[in-house]
Amino acid sequence: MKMKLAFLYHDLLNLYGESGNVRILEYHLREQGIDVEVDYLSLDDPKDIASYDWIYMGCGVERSLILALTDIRKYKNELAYAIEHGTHILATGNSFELFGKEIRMPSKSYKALGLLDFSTEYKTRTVHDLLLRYGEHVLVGFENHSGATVDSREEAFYHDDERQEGIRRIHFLGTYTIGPLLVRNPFFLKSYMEELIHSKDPSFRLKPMDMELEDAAYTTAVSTLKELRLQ
Amino acid sequence: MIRFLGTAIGKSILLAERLFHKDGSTFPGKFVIKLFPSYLSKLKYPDKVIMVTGSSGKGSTTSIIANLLRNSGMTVCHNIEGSNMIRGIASTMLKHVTWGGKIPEDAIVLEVDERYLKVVTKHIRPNLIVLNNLTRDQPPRQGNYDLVYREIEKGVTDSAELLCNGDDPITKQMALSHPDKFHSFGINRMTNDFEDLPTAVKDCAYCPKCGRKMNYAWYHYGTVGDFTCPGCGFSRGKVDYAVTDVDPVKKSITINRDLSFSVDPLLLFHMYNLAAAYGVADLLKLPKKEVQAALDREKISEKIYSETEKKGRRFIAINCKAENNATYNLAHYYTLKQPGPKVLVMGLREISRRYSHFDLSWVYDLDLEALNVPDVQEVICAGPYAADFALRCKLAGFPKEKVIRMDTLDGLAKRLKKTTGDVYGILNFDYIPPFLEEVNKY
Ligand SMILES: [Zn+2]
Repeated sequence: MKMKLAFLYHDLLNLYGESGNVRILEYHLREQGIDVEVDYLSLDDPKDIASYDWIYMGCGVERSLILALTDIRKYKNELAYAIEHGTHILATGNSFELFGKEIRMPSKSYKALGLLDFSTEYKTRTVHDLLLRYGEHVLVGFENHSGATVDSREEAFYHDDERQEGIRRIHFLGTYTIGPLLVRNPFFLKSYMEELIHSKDPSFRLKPMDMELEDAAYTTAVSTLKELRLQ
Repeated sequence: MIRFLGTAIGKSILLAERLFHKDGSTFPGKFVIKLFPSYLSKLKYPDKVIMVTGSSGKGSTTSIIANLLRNSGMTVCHNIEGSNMIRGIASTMLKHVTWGGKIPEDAIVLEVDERYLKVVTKHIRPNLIVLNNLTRDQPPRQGNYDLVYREIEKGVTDSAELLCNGDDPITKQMALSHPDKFHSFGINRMTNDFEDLPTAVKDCAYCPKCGRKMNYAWYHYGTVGDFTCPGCGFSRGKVDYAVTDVDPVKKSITINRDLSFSVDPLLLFHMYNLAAAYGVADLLKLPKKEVQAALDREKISEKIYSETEKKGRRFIAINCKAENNATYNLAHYYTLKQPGPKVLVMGLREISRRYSHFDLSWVYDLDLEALNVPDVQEVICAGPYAADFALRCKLAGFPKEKVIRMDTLDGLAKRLKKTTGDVYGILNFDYIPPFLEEVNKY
C-alpha cells in the first residue's frame, strides 16, 4: 500500500510539539509495511489536496492563522470535496477554525472557508491540561486557545455532561486539544490509524504495533495528571 | 507619606524575616504594594536603570551587566536572587531603600519577567531595556510568544532605549515600532552555522511586517539567523553590537572587529549574553578598556555549564530549561559541533509542578533529528519521563539499541562504563546535581 500524508503550513501552524502527530503516524504506517510519503507544505506551495490520504494542520499564533487563511482559501473546493468524500483530516488547535464560517477576533472578523457549520468567537484565553473520559479510555491533552466554537450544527469531537469541544464530520476531526495528541494517546492513535488504513483498503491486516514506549509515557502522564488534579 | 510608611513597614518585615531566618522571600514587597499600590512610584531612583527581559538568559545577562558596572566603580542594586515579578522587585527595593525613600546605588539592574515588564515600568522608569530573546517558553503559563511580545511592548516606556537581539525577527520587530531608540546585539555568521534547519521548529518564518516568507542566508537555530524579507525589506541587516569573530582555538570572541576577550565554552547563548552586556556598557559609555578586561574575567556560571575530566573522558553538564525548546536545541547543537564520539544524557525529575501543569509536548519541538548522527553513540534517557524522551528519539529515527532508559540517574556511572566518548548531560536544572554526583563516582 502507498499512502500520502500532508502537513499543511508546517512552519506556521505547529505551535506546541504538534509535528509529533505527523512523525508518529508516519512511523507506525511504515512499521506496517506501508510505503509512506510525507509532504511538508506551506504558504504558496501548490497543494494537490485530492492526492492525500491524510491531511494535518496544527495550532498557530493568531497572526499565523490569518496568514494561513489567505492561502487555504484557494483550496476551498478541493477541501470541500475531500471532507465530503471522507479524506482523513486532522486539525488540532485553532486551525480547525479555518473550516467554519467566520472567525471573530476582537480586532477584526474574518470570513473562513465555510465548509463546516459553525463559527468561532475569540474570548478569554483558556490554558489547561486535559484529562478527559473518552469512550472507555482517558484522553490526555493540553488546550491553549482564545477561540470558542459558537452556533455549531456539527457533531462535536468530544462531549460529556460538562464539556463539548471540537468538530467531527465523516473523517474530519477538529479539536482544541493541541500538542502531539496522537503520541500522547496510544489508544487513539491505534484506532485512528486502523480506520485510516481500512478506509483505503478494508482487507488490510494490521500487524501488532510496538507501543511499549507510547504506553509507558501514557501511563505516566495519566497518573501524573490525576495526582495534580487531587492537589 | 506613602514613601515613608511603606519603607518603614517593609523594612520592619524584612528585619522580622531575618530574625526568623526567612529572608529572601517576596513577602515584604507583596505586603507593601498591597498596602500602598503606588509605593514603588514614590521612590527616588538613580539615573541608570537597566531592565533585562526575554524568555531565557535574563539572570546571566543581568549578572554580567552588574559586574561591568561595578568594575567601572559604580554601586549597583540588582535583584540577584532572581525574583523578577513586581513583588520580588519591590522586595529588592525595600532591601536597598534609605529611610528617605531613595535607592542610594549608582545604578539599578533588574531581571524582569516578560509579562511583568509593563507593570514594573509603570513605577520604575528604565532608561534601558534589554530584550534577550523570545521563544516558546512555558506555554501553560505564557500562552504563546506572540502574546508575550505584545505584553513586552506595552512595557516599553518613552524614557527607555531598547537593546534587542537583532538576529531574531521576533525581537527585531521592536525596530519597526521604535526605530529611533532601537539598538541591537547579535552574532555574525560562524563557520559551523546551518544553511538549512529542515527539522527545527520555526517561530517566525514569515515576515512580521508583511507576511512574506523570509529568506535566510544562515541560521544559528530556529528562526534566529540572517533573515531578509523579499516583500518589504525587513531584515537582520547591520547589528550594532555584533560578535564578528569566534576563535575556537584561543576560545575568544571579538565584538565589532575591535574588542576581543576570552569566552569558554563558546556556547551560543553565553555569547549572546556577553554581546548584550557589551552593548549596555557601550550605551552607558563605560570605558572600553575596563569593559574588555571585565568581560575577559567573566566566567559562565557553574550552575549553567560545567566540565570535568575523568579517566580520559570529558563530562559536560549543561543546564536547560524545561518547556523551552530553544535552550535544549542550543545545547544539542553545541554538542553536535564538538569533535569526537559522544554519549548524551537527557531527562528531568519534575516538570513545571509549581504551576501544577504536566505537559511534555515541547519535547517534540526539540530537533532530535539533527542529533541522529553516528558520533552520537548512545542516548541515555533518565527520570520518571524517560519513556517520553526515548519515544521522541525513536520517532527521530534513532536505532533502538542506541537509546537507553533509566528510571533515575542512580547507576549512571556504571552504565557509562559500557560506553566511550565524551559525556554530555543536557538536563533540566533538577537533574544537574544527581548527574554530577554520578560523574564523581565514575
Ligand atoms: Zn516583509
